[in-house]
Amino acid sequence: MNIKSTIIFASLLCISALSSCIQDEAPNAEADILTCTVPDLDPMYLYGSETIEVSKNSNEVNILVFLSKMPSEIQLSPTFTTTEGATITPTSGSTLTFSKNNGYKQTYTVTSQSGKYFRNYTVQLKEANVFKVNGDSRIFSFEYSSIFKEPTNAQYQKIYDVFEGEKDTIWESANAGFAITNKKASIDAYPTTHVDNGKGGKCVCLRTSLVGALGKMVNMPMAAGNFFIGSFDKSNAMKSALTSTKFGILTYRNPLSFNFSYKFKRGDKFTNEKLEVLSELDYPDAYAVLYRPFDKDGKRDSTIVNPILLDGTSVLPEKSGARGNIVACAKWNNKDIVNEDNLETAEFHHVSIPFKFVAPYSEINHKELKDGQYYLTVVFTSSYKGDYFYGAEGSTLYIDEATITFEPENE
Amino acid sequence: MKHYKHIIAFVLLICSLSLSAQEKTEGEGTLMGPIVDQTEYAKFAFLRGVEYSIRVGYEIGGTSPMPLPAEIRKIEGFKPGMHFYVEGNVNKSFGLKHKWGLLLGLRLEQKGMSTKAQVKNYFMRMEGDKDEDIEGPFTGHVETKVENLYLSIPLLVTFKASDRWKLRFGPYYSHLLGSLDEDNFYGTAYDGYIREGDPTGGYIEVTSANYDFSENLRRWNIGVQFGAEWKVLKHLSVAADLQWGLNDIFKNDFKVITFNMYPIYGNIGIAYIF
Repeated sequence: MNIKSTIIFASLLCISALSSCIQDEAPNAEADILTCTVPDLDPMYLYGSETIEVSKNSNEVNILVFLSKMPSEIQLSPTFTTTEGATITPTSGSTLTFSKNNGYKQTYTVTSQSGKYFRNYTVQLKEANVFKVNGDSRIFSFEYSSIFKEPTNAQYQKIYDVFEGEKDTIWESANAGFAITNKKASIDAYPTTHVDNGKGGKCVCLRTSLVGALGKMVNMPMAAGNFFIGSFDKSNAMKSALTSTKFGILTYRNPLSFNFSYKFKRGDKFTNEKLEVLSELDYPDAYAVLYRPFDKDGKRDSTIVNPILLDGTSVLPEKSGARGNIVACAKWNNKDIVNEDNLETAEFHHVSIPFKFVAPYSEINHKELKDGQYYLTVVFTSSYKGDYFYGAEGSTLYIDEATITFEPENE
Repeated sequence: MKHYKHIIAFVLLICSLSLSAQEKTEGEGTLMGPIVDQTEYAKFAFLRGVEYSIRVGYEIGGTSPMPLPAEIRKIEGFKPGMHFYVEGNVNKSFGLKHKWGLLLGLRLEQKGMSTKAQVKNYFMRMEGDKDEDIEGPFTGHVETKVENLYLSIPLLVTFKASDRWKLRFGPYYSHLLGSLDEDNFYGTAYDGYIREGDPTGGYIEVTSANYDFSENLRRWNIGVQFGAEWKVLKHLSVAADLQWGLNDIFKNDFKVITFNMYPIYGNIGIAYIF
C-alpha cells in the first residue's frame, strides 16, 4: 500500500466513522404558517385565491377581500399548513368570528415541533390594494412616513400616503433588503428616505449607496435608492434580488400620463456589479407601467388563481419580452425626455410623460378594465441600471408631487 | 511571514538539540580518562539511558465536535490535505532494565482538513465588515476549512516493550502559532437559508456566503496522545501517534458555534535516533 492509498483509506475510515455517529434529527425549531385556506368565504367577497401563500418574513396572513362587499360579521374556519410538526392555536379549521368590531382580525400562535419557539400571527381580512383615484387623477405628495423597526433592531422609514383620511400603504422600497446587511445603519443612511425641503413640505430621497462587504460577496455591492408601488419580500433579497420587488396593484382606471417633480445629483464614479469603474454617466429613472397580471398564454397562475405580478426581471417591456403582458408604459429615461441641461438642477423640475401603448397592444379593453384585469405600478430609482447593481455611489434623486392622470369616466 | 520565523526558530532548536546530543556522546570518552570529578560523574549517570531523536511525518485527522451534534445531518466530504509535523525529543529511561522512561518533546505540527456537511439549524455568523453580519440558524450546506499550525510540547511516559517496540503515552500542550494557509478556521455556507437570530427570525435564502472564525480560536490546547515506535534499524524507527484534544478549540466567549470542537489527529512518520 503506497502513501496515497493509505491516505485515501484513512479518509474513508474517518468519514465512515463520523457518519456512523450522525444523531437522530432534532425536532423542527421553526414555527411558520406556510399557507392559509379559507374554503367557506363566498368567492364574491374574495379577491384572488382562497389559498394564500404566506411569506416566512411576515407575521400577517392577509386574506384579501373587497371590504365594501363584506357583511359586518362573518364566521370563517380558516385552515393552515405550518412547518412540519408545528402546532397552531386556535387549531386549524376552528370557526372564528371576523367582524368590523375586531377589525376583521384574529390572532393565532404557532409553536414549533421542538416546543421551544413560537410565532404569533394576525390573520385578517384586508381590503385588496386598489389604485384609488380622486376625480380623474391621483396626487401623491409624500408627506407621511413612519419608522419601521425590524426584530434585528435595524430601523428605517416607510413612506405612506393618506387618501381621503385613510392610510394608504401602496408604496414600498427595498430598504428591508438593505437592512439585512446594514443592521446598524442610521435611518438617514438607507437608500430610500423621507426628507424635508420637498417642493411643498417633505419629499422622497433616493440615494445610490454601497451595501458593504457582504453585498460585495454576492455581487450586489450597491443599492440604488428605489421607491415603487407594490411589495418587497426579502426572502430572495440575497439570492435573486430582482424577484424580491413585486410591482403593481389593481387599477379600474385607464392611466393617461405620469407626472412628477424631481431634483437630481449625479454620483461621480459609475461602477459595475464588481465595483469596477466604467466610463459612463449615471442617470435616474422613473416609469409607470400598465399591465395584465397574466402569463404569456394569457392565464393567471393556474393552481392558485393569483395575479402574476411583474418583478424586477420583467417590469419593463424590453425585459418582459415574449410575455407580452405590458399594455402601456410611461418611461422617463428615454433620450427625448431626459435632457442633460435640466437634469442636475438646484430647484425641482417638473416632468410629464404620456403613457404609450406597447405592441401588440393599441387600446384598452374597458370591460376587462372594469373586471379588474389591469394592474398599474410606478417605479422611481436613483440609478437607471441599479437593478443590475450598476450605478454611481451618491447619485441622489428627490421626488415630490407624483401624479397619475386617468381617462375621464364616461358616465 | 510571521510563521516562517517560528519555523526557523524551531529548526535551529532541533539542530542545537542534536549538537548537544553529540557533545554528550563525547562526554562518555572523557569518563574513561583519569580525571573525573563528582559533577562530571553525576552528569554521566544522569545521561545513562538518555536518547535523542527527531521525527518527521504526515498528520491526518479532523477538528470535530464529539459526538457530532444533531445539527449535522450528513457528512458530504472530507479532505485531509497535506499536513506535516517535525518533532525533537529527549527520552530518559529509568531502572535497571530501562523499560520505563519519560519523554519531553517539542513538535511543530500542522493540524488541518476540510469537510463538507449538510446541516440543519446550524448556528452561523456570515461576516462582512463588523457592522454587517447575519447571525442565526442556517439550514443547508457548510464547507469548513481548518488550517492550524501548532507548537506542541508532549510530556510522555515511555515503555520499552521489546528491543524493537516502544510505546508512549501522556499529555501534550499545544500553542497555536498561526496558519500556513489563508486563515485558521473559515469556510462557506451555501445552498440554504438562514433565519435572523433564531428559528422564528427573518428568512433569507443564501446562495453562498463566507464565514471566518479564525479570530475566535483559543491560542492553547491540551490533550493526550498515545503512540508506538518500531525500530527498523539501529538509528531508524517508524512511529505513529494518536492525539486527542481535550479542550474546545474556540475561546469561551465565542458563542456562534454552539458545540465544542476538538482536534483529533493521528500521525505517522519516521524517527531518527541519535
